[in-house]
Amino acid sequence: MTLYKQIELMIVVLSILMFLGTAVINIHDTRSYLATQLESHAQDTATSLGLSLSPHMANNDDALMVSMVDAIFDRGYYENITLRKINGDVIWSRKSGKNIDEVPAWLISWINLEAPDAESIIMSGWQQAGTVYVKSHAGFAYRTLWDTITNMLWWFSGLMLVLLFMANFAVRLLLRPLDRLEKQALAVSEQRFDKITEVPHTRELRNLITAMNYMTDKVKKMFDEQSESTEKFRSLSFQDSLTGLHNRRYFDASLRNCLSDAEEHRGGALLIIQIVDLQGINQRLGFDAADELLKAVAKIITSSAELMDNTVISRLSGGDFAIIIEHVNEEEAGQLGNELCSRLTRLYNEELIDTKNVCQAGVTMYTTGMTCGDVLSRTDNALQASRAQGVNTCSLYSAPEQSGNDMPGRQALQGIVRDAIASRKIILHAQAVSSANNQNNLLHREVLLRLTGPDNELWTAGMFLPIAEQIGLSREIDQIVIGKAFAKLTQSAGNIPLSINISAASLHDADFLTWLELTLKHADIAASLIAFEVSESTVVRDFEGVQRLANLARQHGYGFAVDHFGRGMTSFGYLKSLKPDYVKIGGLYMTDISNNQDDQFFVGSLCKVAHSLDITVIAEAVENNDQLQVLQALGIDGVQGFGIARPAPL
Amino acid sequence: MLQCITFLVVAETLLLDEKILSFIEEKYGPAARFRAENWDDLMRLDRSISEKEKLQRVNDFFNKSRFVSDIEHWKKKDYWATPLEFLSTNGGDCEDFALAKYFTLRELGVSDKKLRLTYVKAIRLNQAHMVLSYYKTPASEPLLLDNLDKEIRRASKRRDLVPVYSFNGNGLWLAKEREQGRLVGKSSRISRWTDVIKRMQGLNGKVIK
Repeated sequence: MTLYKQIELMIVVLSILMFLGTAVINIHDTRSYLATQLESHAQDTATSLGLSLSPHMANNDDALMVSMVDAIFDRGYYENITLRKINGDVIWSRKSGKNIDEVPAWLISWINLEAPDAESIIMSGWQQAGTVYVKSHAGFAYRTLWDTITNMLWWFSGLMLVLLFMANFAVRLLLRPLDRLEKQALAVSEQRFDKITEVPHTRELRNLITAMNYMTDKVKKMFDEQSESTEKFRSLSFQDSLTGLHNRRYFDASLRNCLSDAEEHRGGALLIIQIVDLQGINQRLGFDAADELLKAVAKIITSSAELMDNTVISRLSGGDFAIIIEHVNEEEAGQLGNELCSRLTRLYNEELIDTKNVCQAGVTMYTTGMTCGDVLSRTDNALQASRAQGVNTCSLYSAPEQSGNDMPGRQALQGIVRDAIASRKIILHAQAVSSANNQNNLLHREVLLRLTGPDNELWTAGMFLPIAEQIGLSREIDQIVIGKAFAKLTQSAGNIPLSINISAASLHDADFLTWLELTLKHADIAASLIAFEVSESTVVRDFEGVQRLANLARQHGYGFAVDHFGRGMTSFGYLKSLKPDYVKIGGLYMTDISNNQDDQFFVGSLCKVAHSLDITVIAEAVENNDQLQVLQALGIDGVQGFGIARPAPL
Repeated sequence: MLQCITFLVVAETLLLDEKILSFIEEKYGPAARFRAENWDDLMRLDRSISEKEKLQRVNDFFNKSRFVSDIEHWKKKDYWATPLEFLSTNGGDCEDFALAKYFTLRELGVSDKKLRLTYVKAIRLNQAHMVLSYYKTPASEPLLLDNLDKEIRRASKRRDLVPVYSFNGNGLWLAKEREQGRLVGKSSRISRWTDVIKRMQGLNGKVIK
């Protein structure tokens, strides 16, 4: 029962009680008043009759006396008037019926109102010659009582209506803060930290609202503190404090990830630039000048490399810088190396270094599947070649014969991908994501893409997606995947949910969004069976686009998630506004997690940041039981990787 | 039960106690107290004496008081004094005489049915007057207890009086009280008599006790 209904009921009950109480008092008063009135009425009539009959009694004029009694009786309201001789003989008696019109029988039986009677003497000279007995009629009293009751009933009904109306209004006014409170509580549970600005006057409600506002503040602060400390920790453990570039740890993890994750990576180039004789510079110019030099180098490298997509720039140690450039060919990588060398030489002109002998660079190509040691030693070879070649040069260590020859040339590749997309030859695989504590409990399956190559071999996504992106066909791929995934779910109902990756390019394509909206609206599958994932780097580059997608998905009941959570150096504030259903922490932090406490601490913090917003956290690239156990202990909700389930055709 | 009734009778009595007597003495002097004590003695007479005897004694006792008009006595046009007020001030008008006699006789056990307060016209004085009539039976000729003629006489002997109308004393007193704006509640007749007795014990409209 709502509070309003209860108050309403209370008012009705109270009004009825009040009515009954007042009615009883009122009836009692009216009754005794009427009794007194009737009594004096009877007595007055008896007295005046007695007085006026006395002379005629003396004359024994019965006829006159009778007509006098009749006159009084007929004009008045009496039940009985009786004229007696002093010995008790009745001379004349008039009686009227006891029935009372317009008054319900229950009232008469409920309230006993005996009409009073009175008696007077009729004199004959000094003698008492007779008596006159008068009894008033109770009908008048009953009618008065009945009128009183009905009048009161009307008044009370009217009053009750007015009260109810007022109560209705007042209660709604009073309870409005509670409505707002409910909304606020819901908002907090959805991680929107709105505060109620309109504080009510009712003290209890005001306290409640203030407390709620305080709590909202607290929850918001908790999230902010948690994400701030995680960000701080991340920069401490994965960033080079001097230059702001990534550090050696991050570089190692990135390289390992690039070499092992065939779903996203195909290959690319590793470029290492060495400042020549940093120790000598330290001694000659001092540490501060050397630091300034390193910062300038970092700036130059960043500005050049940023022109290319998918790069990871790190300072390895001392004067060693490394750049991982994904999806480039030898030519482009070599070009970047030479350009950097020549730009760094200019530091001498800027007097940041006292020698023209500034740096040497080495480039090597890598493909997914190679080992880190392999790639690094090849780069070393290239560097040695540079040293031999002379200062400020860049040497290239070509990719090994077999891998280089395996892949068709760029032009051919693009043709193959174009054809595959045109003929929709993209095949869907899926990798299961299961609950961290129970691997039999599947949370969802992530859709992975495969393409049938010219020799009917399957290409992993990492091999063709970067190419599709280069030739601007990402959107087509996304559409094909969504279409196929939906079709799959339509065919087999009651499935495990699927997650589909959406490319950055699609997000700022208006046609794609229109198409997606139509598709989502008219899809005949349960919306909860599909979630869309975007990479955190996409969130950073195109926040509006991602938000549009998130809103679109939400609006139709679909899921939304962020992949590569925590990979970049971005702040976690975006989680509050995007509110993804889950985030995935990529393989970058997973490879070494069973041994490295910093990685554990960082992943644990990522978990807390997400959990404080009620966001599920999934770890990717889980390959063995050690990792699984560590992740379980860190509070990860879901796990994905070869150690859990291998990708399989959908 | 018996005890209860006895108590009720005591409660309805007009008999005086020391408290009232000393109050009267303080306010009206020892002579007033003496008169009140005499009245008390009168009311304590053996009830078995004949009614005629009772009438005689009561009539004689009160007829010793002075006749004073209300205006003179109470500075009011029409004031009905209680017997105590009447005795204490040793004077009253015809109503006061008649009422004092009436209540004293009632106290002595004379039935209410036999006593009537009769409005009369005093021919010689050409004035409205009141007497107490005693009817041995309802139909019999009354004996009149009057303060003009201090002897008790049969009505037919009183040529100087013309009867107008008569009432039972109790009801008349109550009606008078009501007219004076005093609260007369209680619809039951027994409790009304108690009420009247209470007033009778009072002085100057106030109930002592």
